[in-house]
Amino acid sequence: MEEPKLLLKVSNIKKYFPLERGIFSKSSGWIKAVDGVSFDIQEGETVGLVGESGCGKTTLGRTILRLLEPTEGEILFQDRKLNRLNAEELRKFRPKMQIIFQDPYSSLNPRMTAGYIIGESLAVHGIAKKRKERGEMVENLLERVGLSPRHANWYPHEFSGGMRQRIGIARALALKPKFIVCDEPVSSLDVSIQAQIINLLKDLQEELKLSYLFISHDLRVVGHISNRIAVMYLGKLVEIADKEELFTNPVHPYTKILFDAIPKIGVMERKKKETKAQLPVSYNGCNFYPRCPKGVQKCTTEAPRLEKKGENHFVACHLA
Amino acid sequence: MTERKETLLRIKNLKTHFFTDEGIVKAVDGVDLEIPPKETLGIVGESGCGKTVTALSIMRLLPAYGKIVDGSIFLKRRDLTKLQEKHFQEIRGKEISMVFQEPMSSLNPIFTIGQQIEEAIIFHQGKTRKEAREIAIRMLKDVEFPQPAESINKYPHQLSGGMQQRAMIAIALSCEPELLIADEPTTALDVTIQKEIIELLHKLKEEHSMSILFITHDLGVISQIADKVAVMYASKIIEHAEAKEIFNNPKHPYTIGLLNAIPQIGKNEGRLQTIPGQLPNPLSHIEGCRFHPRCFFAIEKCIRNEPPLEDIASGHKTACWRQKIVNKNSWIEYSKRYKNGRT
Repeated sequence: MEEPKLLLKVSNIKKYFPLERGIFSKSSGWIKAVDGVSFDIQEGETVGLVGESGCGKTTLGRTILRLLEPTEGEILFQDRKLNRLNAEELRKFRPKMQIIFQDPYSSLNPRMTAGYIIGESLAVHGIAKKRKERGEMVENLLERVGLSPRHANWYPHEFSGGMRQRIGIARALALKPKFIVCDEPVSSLDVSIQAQIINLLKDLQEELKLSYLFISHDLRVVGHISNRIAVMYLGKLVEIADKEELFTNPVHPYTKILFDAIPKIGVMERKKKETKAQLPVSYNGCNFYPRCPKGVQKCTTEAPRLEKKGENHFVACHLA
Repeated sequence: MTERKETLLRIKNLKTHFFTDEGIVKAVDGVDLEIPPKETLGIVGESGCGKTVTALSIMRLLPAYGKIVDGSIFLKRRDLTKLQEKHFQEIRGKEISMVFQEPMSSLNPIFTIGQQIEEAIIFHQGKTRKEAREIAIRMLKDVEFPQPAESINKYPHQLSGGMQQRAMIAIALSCEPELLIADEPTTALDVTIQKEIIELLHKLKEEHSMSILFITHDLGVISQIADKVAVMYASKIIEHAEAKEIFNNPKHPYTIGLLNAIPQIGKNEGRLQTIPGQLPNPLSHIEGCRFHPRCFFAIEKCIRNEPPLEDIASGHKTACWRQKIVNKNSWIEYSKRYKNGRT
């Protein structure tokens, strides 16, 4: 195999939201949505990002694209420091990185036709200034995602959920990106349609050499599409490893609990297992301690760091 | 039939139609179901297949433009469709109760959960507020609320999603119903919480010896909870069998397609098997078998005549003209043939 090329490297990225806002009020505290995350993505690779709702996966995805400004940390994209770019430089960079949103119902403007939605960025970035040229490119894109050119004149409400998500994908592809953040792209779709979209994303990746950061709470989907998987809990990565390694040899207790909770088809397992389900609180120790079945004293005072435990396998746990 | 167990709920040829401006939507179009006591029946299907409308028809909670146009729903010996609303109120919440998908929007934000549990107890059992409160605390203990006596005064927004769903279940069970209808009760929850709720429902089913009608789109969830499974497609049941049988030996092309479309961990690298096409438009009428436009096995007969739901083995029913040749292996073979035929 040829040497994989580094596409994106994120170092110690943080995104804090102030708890109090207003004209005079000083922030009384911070919500640490993303709290020191580091990882990288190679060219043509899919990194899956899993975690429960509210763990910061979406915030992380958006911060990497600078749709949200990072509080701290460095984002290296094709050897450029993304976090240092000013607005104008960033705009020129935008075509290389795109995003596909979760909800195909609210992420498409209901007043615009599919053709306009897909072609808009082509016009904005001056790639296809002439109408006719743009129309042709839009038609190609529609066909590429499994729709037909006549759909260009349709409005979002005329499409089904799966077709809308295809428009979202076509829009992301329009500028020939290298990297796409897929933020729960199939979560709101039915099973039979979900499989179609996953296959489409895989085909496109192979054909266009795309890299994906694939965000999902569905481990089955992430497990299918990813090369590597990162597990996130309360703003921090707790484990990251190659897919096969992670599924056969999960180390972090949270990863284990998460895998254990996936409903397995055709397997009836009705044994009861104790997991302390409390709303976790943030403090200096390990974020997972309140729910951890194994926690020790050290976990309450010192947050574990992501450390190498095997080939390509990193875990943040004192007990690993 | 060796043992004659009285069926708790028997639905016969239920047809529920929605009368909309664009036309009539046959949301449920001839559904037959039976639920024996102490059994969990799972209904599984994709959005718009009629699974929720079936539940709402039983509970008589249909929107104003929806109407049961044919069929009967027997709870033991009484036909619910023939009851007056006044009498039905004595059944809803007492003999049959329901848990909804989104706990946040189903609970009333301006009352404490205690008040919301007590309401049903006072209405149906004629208890005083004080007695009702004691029962409510017991219910919260049953659904494994930490510190039930304090939690009872909390408002819904003070609870997490999982706790809200537990409160919903406490309300539903407060009058010891014989049938609990759970409509996607875990869909809005995280997997770890989902698992807890499923385990809780198992426990409560045993303790309260009730039946559950469990509705979901997630085949994984259904395999964890159901004794029997009914698969719905386009307003009809197309396969019905013991849960094990459905997962090990599915016989309808749609059921097999659904199972194949789910990514399995550690298995099937490469492409997922898919069902071609889209879900049918609810306003359109499909001649013959409703699944034929998306089916690899379709022949002339499937396009012309609608197959009935027939017994093919003991307790295993399927609605397919081609059931003799349909199985997991032939599905893969036919899907390849289908794709080659098109290109």
